[in-house]
Amino acid sequence: MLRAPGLQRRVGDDAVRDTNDDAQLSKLSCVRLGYFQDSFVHHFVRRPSRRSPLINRGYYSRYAALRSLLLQFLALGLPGSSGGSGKPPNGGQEGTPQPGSQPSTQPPAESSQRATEGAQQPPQAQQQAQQQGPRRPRQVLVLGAGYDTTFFQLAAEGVRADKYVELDFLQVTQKKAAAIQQLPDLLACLGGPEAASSISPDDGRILTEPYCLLPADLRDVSQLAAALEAAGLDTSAPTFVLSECVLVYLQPQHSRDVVRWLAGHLQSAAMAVYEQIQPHDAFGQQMMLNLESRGCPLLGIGATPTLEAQQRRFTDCGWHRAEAYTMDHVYSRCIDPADRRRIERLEIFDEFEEWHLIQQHYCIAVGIKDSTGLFEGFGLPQHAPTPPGPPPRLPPSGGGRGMPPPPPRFMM
Amino acid sequence: MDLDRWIEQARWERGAGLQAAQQRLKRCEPLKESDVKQLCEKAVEILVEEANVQRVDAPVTICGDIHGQFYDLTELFKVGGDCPQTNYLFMGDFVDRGFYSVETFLLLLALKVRYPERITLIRGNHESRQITQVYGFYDECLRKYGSANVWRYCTDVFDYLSLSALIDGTIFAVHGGLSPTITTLDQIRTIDRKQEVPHDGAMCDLLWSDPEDGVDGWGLSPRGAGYLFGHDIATQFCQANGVELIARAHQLVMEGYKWMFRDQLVTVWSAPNYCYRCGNVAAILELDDGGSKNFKVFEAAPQEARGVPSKKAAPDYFL
Amino acid sequence: MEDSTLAPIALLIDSLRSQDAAQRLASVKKLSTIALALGEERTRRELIPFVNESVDDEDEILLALAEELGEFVPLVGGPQHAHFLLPPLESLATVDETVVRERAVASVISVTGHMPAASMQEHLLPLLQRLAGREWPARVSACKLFATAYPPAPEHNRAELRAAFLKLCHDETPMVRRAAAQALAPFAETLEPQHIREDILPSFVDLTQDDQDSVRLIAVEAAGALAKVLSRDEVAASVMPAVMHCSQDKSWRVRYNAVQQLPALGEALGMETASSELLPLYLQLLRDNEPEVRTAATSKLSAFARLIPVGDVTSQLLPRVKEIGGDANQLVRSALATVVMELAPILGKNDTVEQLLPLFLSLLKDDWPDVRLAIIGKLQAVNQVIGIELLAQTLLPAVEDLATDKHWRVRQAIIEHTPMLATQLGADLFQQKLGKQCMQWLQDPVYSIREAAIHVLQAVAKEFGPDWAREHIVPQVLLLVNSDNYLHRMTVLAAIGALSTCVSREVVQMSMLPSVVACCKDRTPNVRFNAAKVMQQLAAVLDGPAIQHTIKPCLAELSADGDADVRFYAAAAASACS
Repeated sequence: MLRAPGLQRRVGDDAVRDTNDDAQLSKLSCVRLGYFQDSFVHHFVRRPSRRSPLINRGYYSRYAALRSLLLQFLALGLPGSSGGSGKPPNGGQEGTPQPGSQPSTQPPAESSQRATEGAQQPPQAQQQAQQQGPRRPRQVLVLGAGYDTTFFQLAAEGVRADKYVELDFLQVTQKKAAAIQQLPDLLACLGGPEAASSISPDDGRILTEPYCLLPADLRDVSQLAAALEAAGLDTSAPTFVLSECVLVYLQPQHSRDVVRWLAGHLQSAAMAVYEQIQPHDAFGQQMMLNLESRGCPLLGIGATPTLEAQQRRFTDCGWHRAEAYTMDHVYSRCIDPADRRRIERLEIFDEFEEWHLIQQHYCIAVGIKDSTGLFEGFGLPQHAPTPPGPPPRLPPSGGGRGMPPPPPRFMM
Repeated sequence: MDLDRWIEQARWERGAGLQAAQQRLKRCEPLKESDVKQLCEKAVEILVEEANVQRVDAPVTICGDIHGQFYDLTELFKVGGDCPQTNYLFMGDFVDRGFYSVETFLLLLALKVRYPERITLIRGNHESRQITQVYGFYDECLRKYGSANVWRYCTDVFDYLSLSALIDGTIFAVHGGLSPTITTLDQIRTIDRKQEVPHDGAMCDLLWSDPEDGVDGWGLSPRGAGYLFGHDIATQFCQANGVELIARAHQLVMEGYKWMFRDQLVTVWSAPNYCYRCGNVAAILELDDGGSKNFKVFEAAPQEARGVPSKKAAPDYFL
Repeated sequence: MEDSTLAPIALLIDSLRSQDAAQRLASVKKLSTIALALGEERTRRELIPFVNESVDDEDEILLALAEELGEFVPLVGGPQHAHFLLPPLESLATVDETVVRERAVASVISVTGHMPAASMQEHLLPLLQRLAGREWPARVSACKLFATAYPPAPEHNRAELRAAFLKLCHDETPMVRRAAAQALAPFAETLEPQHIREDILPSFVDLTQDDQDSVRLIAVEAAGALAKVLSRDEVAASVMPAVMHCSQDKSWRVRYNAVQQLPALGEALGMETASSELLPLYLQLLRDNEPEVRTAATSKLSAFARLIPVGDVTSQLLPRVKEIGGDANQLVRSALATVVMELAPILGKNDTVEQLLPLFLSLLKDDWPDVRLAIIGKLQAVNQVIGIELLAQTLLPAVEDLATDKHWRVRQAIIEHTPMLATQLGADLFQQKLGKQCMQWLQDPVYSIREAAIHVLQAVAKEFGPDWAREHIVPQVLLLVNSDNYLHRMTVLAAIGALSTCVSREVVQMSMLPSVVACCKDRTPNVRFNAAKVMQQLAAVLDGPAIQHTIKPCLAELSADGDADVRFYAAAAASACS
């Protein structure tokens, strides 16, 4: 009530692009505190700073859920990974890879070679794949990828897609391409120094096998189409599309165009959307105001304000089925309970009411287009509700594991 | 140090030219470090005399968490009346989260020193060295004063804040809630409170616990400190101590206040639009001398009363 | 450390190299102290070169450095040595972070402001040329310096400067073109008319057609300033088409800035062109798809209406204005509420009553408090045009509604206008329409409203005189002293204090004093110490016997009260009375 008019909207597109810097800063904050591992995100943060525990936990929940979906996709068709049980690729108790216990510690270049030889799959899996006919390549498409480092982190862990395509505004891909060109450890993930020749920072393009980075303004699907063609994406191969806080900044007709175009052109695909919902209650209204005054109004949220609307966007636009959960649900039910317990010990956490509020205003929606039955059972795993167990106690004075050293000089 | 002058000055700043005040607050020397030291020493002299269950007479206005939202505290006074005209009881969590913990706590402390009979401050779980290092007060002191001295003076005062209050013998006010190790008020009175908030035990529980509707008896708190307590526990406590109402803060409630346990307990929350993000309204509970209870609900101070928000002031989301 | 004068610089170097950014920041902020200790010459020879080598730090520290150096002219030995400060500032003007750069440029400008013309030519011109030739952040900084560098430059350098500026206007980096667009107007103001025409105008036109909307929207903002320094024909031939083009831009932000240039443009073009060329465009922008553009257009309503014939205002503008009154967006309606009454003097009384008043009334009842607040602020303006009778008939019902608005700030806005209404309405009508309301405000649940109500009563009492106040205010106020709520009893005390100077001494002594005496025995200490304060106020208007026989004994009793605050205020009042 009685708020200043939101006329000082900062430069719209720039401000939306700035959200990318903010995301990397928060991810680095998580990495430094031990929420998850990423050896590359620090390259994309100019001045690291520590985020509040709520923000860290929120980014962790988004990371954990989306990473498990991605790994589940990459393992589709492997034994024990039908997805029906919602189990991640390694099956059993492993869950998402624990930081510090990566499946592979091979140097990136070598694992890249192994991946192209198909040696990454266990022998039985290969056998089974052969029984089912030639394994189709697995492709990942990230919309509005920003400075996301998932590809590089997975490569370092020895996990590869056959093609990994990232799209964003030209201004972003230019900077990202220039950065990658200058960073040996990133170049190593692309096959070493010779990969530098596949990078053209001015055009904001990287075209290597399997990683491609291309500029595209999603408000124009012809740019999306052209970029995917340039990347050599095989529309008949299984594809996982990821959209984190991207579609919601577009006008509804533009985001529907994107969702519809993808359903129309990809024969077999899953698409995961992570973004804000519930704009109409008090928290949601404040969220709209705050993001608008940051210059990045949630132009699309009115058309997808609920979980149902998120699902309908998929099913109305040609996807076969869809599911959607609030992040509050995702955190308590879809994330490996053991890992969740681990991260809950990392920091003091005293923002429960706000935590539930903000998590209820974000969702993950998954759309499936499954022409071959490959995606049967694909989706977020649903774990049993956590039985009441002892919650983490306050860490001893000075903070628990993973907390930065206490401020100097004056601890009690 | 001229306390009256400083209080007046702080008032002037929130009343008039808030742009000038914002400028001042940005440079942020609301009080010189040496003045803070004096103020804190004075405050300790007064607080050390107070009981763990501080006796308070009605009429009094009960307030919940403020969390460094200085301009909203200003709004609270505009609605509730200035101290000393109106008597106040603040139930802790003065600092952390908001951008102006230093100004908020020092203003309340200055009022306490000047009008010890008119304002009562009890301790919240954020009045702690450990929590303030995570949730912003420590960083704010460092940013505004260039050293941790002010943080140290203030956290030393925290150790002397009372743990609870008893209004006219019938309303028990505490930041968080009850403790399984406490059945009588006398047990609270015997706590040696002059220490950092411990990680468990009665003192910790009073500052950390939450009432919970579905719980019978005691439950584990997801916070990792304190407990969840049910209706039955509240009833037992009230009966054992002749208390009619438990007033507490500690949990954000979107409507500013919330009755529970058949009006045996009320949560009061006084930080509107908490963290500049939650969109909630705030409330204070006015107990007048005619025996009635009135909630005053208020919204965040309007934007123009806050000056121009800096770029950094934007609240965080997942972007 | 043998040389004790080395100590401060050694200390500075130490803390400038500290690992702790807060410490580095603190030492940068103490730079002037250190310079003072070192003296002018060593500051020039040692400190500034040292600083020049430290311009590779965190932005916050660089920002502080840029700020400090701007104030350094006296510390390096005055104007003739000011140029020593330019090298570090030049480096700071090339960093990536915008705020640092901007601060550095501002400091360059303030430093060069002290420099003698010859020194400026010698140092500033090459600096500007260097910046203009470096990477884009430096070129952005360069753009901002032309307006400073040009006036003192000799003729042959001026041509170079103009050429350099033109080049930046067509720079390959959008950020640079943006900065150049921003510099257009300030630079133009320093240029000779011929060069504005030949150099700036074509660049302006180019920039308003840039392929980046962020450039276009800044460029178009120069239109108003250019219209002022060019001839009417030049404006009509070049500036107007550019603005018209921007008004149709596909980016709303460009249209948003374009519409704000229309009044200045119209002023330069004259009424005929404003009416024939700009009005259709303006009408279209008032109906723009984007609420931001409609808001901007609406806020220029009266400024624009003044430029066109009254006939056009009534026949073309007014119908559109009425539409805006029903706009779905509250910000648009707020903008309208703020400016709508400014149309009244243009329209004259009849049209105001017939056309504007209904609109005004509907805005007064708007769902959105901001809109109501904006319109309340204009009550006086309405009254001046339509006169009190109409105001009473038409507006008062709406005012009465707002007086009980659920948002206390809306109630407060109405209260603030009540003294003005009292003046306009006269005693009888005021009492009839608003008298009761004033008493209700005195018991409002919100403290600020009660406080404001006291001021209103005081103002009204002064307006209508002591007799009226005795009859219509004092008894009603005194009745409230029996409230159950101590906050309300204290409000009465404050009101008594405020009114005591507006009524006769007799009323104070006979009616007010007994109530205050009663309050001295109130059960609540807060009421007692407020009674003590009010006693002091009453003593100022009462005579000796009343003070001796009533006030002093009361205060003496209160000075022995059990409450410390009561004792304090009673003692203060007692000493003021004697």
